[in-house]
Amino acid sequence: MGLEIIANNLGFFLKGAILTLEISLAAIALGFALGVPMGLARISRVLPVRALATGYVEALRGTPLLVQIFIVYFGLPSIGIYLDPLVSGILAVGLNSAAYQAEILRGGIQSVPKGQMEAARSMGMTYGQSMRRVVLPQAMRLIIPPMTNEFIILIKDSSLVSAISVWELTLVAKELNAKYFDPFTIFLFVAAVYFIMTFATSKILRVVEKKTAIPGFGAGD
Amino acid sequence: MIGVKRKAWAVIGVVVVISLIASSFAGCIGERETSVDIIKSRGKLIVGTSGGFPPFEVINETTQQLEGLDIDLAYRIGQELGVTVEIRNMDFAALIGAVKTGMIDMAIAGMTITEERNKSVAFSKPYFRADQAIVVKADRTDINSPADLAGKKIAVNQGTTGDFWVDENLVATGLVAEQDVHKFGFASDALLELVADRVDALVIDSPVAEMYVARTSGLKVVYTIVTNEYYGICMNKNAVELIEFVNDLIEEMEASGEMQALIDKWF
Repeated sequence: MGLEIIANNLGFFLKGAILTLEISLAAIALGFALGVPMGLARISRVLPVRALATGYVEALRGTPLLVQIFIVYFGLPSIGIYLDPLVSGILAVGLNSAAYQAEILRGGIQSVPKGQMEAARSMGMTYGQSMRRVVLPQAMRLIIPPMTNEFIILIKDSSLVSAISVWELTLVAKELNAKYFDPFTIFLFVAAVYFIMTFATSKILRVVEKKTAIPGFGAGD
Repeated sequence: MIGVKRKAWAVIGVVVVISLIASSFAGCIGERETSVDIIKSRGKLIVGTSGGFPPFEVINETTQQLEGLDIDLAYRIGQELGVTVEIRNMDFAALIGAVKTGMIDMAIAGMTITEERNKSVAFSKPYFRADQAIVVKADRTDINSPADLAGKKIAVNQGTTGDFWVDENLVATGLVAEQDVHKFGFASDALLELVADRVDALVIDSPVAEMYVARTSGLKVVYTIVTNEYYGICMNKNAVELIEFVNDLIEEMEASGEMQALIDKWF
């Protein structure tokens, strides 16, 4: 048994791994698209905007992702919204990630010394211009390490969508376990595959971090 | 850069090698033994099952405990052994692995005795006969036989004989796309999928299908696939004495009419 199960099902594992990557990339993109405006809203001077963003972040961060997946998949049909398993999974994971990415961005922006904004404003730039041209470029560099963390967590958490019958890596593993009854081999192998994905992510983003580093500034070395 | 790359590949290599070596040993290490003596000295029989499968194992809303034919059977075996019984509720597909590794002493979960499963675990004498059934919403008129399932979405309980039937007869033949088979760890989640109209049909063991239809409004069984399956109690191959013990008990219960009374209680 053992190795044979892995060898005979490499194609199946690969299919699952590719779907895991697709789900992760789509959810990261969705999380980023929503997280950036949300992060800016978190430090907005307009109270209702700030309150709304804070509410979103606290709600999504304060409830389990698995429960959120169930709400999207099993819950939404009650109000007439039917999404297929894959779309539900990406949506739930992406919405959840948006909350974390918003917080990461807020932290990044607030780590840029106040003097930077003040200097930009004193040169006649508007708040928006100062943000776009001076603060955000620095903040974006500062958030690479925590974002790396978030992406790694997201790749691993995408395994939760196996609960709603999405054929990603973990469901493939469960399926093969249901056929071959060899959980140790199968889940250990799958863990190694996840590790390769997260390790590669970490390495790629480390390169980005180094390439974009401003000499003498921030966390870069 | 090259240094980083080489290091990365080295780590990946190490992980892969370790997991492959570990997996080839998985058959020999880490398995916990179970036997009549071990169970007796522990004072507790650990039984695995997978809920949402009426009338074999289903949650009783009042007691919040699993109840059913299989659960009664588990307590009956515990009584005969003179020990208490702990019921562990898990994904159906996880049960055989749990028996193999000795995580549980036995699985009583409406589990069909199959050749494939027999390679990994042992089964008691059969205690119940079943078929597979196709369940649809009561207002559906377009699904009346297995052939009508072509191109449809189907829910199954992962790792069950219903799941295998769909894989072999519909997916392998190209009649149904792989991603259109929605697989769930618990049978009740597969049922929910049908109730929520996310699939066109549910393929599940016939007695359970009948119970679902009786308990949930708006469902019907449109076809019974005669598969002639026999449920057995799943145990570790090495637990020879335990298997004998359970077989003796089943024989005795059948001879005395106790088994029939138990079946009548739940059907």
